[in-house]
Amino acid sequence: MQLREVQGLFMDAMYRESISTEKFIKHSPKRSADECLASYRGSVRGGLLKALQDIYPVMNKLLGEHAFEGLSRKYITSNPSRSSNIAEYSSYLSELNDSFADFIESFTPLKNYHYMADVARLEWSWHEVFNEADNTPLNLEQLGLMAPEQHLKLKFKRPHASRLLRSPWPIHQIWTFNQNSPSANDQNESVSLINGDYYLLVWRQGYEMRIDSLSNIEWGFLHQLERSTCFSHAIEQFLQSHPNENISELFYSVISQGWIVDFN
Amino acid sequence: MSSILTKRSSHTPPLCGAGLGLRSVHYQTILETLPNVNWFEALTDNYMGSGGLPLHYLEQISEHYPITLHGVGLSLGSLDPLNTDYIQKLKQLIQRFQPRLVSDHLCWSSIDGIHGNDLFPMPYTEEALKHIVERIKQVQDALGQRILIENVSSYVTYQSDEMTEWTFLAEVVKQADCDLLCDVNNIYVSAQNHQFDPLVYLRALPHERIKEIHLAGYEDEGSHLLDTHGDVVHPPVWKLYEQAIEMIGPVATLIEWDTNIPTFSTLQQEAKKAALILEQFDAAA
Ligand SMILES: [Fe+2]
Repeated sequence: MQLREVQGLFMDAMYRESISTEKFIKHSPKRSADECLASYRGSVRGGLLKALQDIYPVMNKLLGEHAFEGLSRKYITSNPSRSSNIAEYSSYLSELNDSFADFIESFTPLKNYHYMADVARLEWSWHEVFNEADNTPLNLEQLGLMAPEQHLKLKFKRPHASRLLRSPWPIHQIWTFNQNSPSANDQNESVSLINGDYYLLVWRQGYEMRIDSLSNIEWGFLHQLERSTCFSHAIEQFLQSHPNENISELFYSVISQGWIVDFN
Repeated sequence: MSSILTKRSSHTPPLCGAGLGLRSVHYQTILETLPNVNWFEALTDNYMGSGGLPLHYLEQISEHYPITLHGVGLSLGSLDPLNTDYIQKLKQLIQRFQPRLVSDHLCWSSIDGIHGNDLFPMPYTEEALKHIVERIKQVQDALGQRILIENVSSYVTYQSDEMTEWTFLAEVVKQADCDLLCDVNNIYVSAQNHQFDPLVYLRALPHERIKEIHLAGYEDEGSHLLDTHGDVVHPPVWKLYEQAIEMIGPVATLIEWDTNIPTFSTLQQEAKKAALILEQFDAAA
């Protein structure tokens, strides 16, 4: 049997159950060919499950270990890994796979828990930001040397290690509430699932991970800066939806929070 | 390429003694106490991100200790194209941290774009040999240096096998002109699972190419041994290690521990055991 066929059959067996194992695997002195190959199936799926548990600790807590494992195992069999880097597992890499959050959104048993997918999105953003490229603080001196009209031609940028999120659910509170096991005394505490508009920036300041709650104005402004080719375009677009905002105050505020770190 | 391959060895003393696998839970302890450890082996794949804390810690630790880089992502035996992005990132890590050794495994992990993120054994055939040799050469050319290839522990053998694992591995080293990372625990685990004599395996390897040894703990599942890297090194593996050192001579030896990671002092005790065996044979030589 050629290498191609061996590798194809082997990988099939990792994500599916029934195949003709004896065709390409020998039995060992103590185990059938199926049992031998099952060691790898267990290891592959166990490794991916561990990756999901590491990336989504809050989801794991919300659902309980057992339910989270059940959900993860379903995800794993329908979404084989598509990256050599296990830290990328559960991200959207191509139309060939669902992200974990998209999978949760369409997972029927969770259809009444609308906030779950957004909690997963928040955890994925945290995971990405943790390993993203570092940023140095904004060079205010260089910016100060430029005339204000030159600023209008610049494109201002958020840290590489940052993600903007919005959700109709209080996912930041849910996330915070589930960081530490509530003690016996706190058992009556809960997060009110008030439907609304919640705006977040998940980011890293130096090596410190942060989740900042933003106003819809701050969020909209950062969002527009990202979408626009230059500052003047961003201002123009932003003022169409927020005509009464004071741009210089807003700009000063986002800079002092550390949400803008670069320009070109 | 031979001039590139030998360039660094003339400046840097060879790695020796016992080292430890670097794990994130121990970053703080290491930096706060600067323990007496010969070197640390970093898992390449954990430092493939563009930035953040892992790289920041590795940077600091590499200022105090020699570093080796050990990867699982090259998928050298796969029929999928080589991952050039991964090789580029590996090259950047090499430039940044100047590791004493760079290693990956005698295995494949992906096919048709689907990944197992695990170390699958090769079928030991002429076709597979030719393929993996070619790929190792390509990686070494891209990196401008030799890499070490590690034997994996295995739970299967293939119907298509045409030779033993040790014949295959020895041929890989010879034909690809690479070095060897000999995992003594993996040899023991595979020998038990497939009923062969681990000493026959050890004798067949090109000893002068063994630049590093790995030791780890397995789990006995009754019907087979499972290589979990989650326990102390077991007595039969220590015995096989002594026999290996007697045969090969003292080679830099690493304690690997990946699951149920213990306190740092437990790791140090394991390293000390390896160091004593190395010293014993060093003195005898
Ligand atoms: Fe190893």
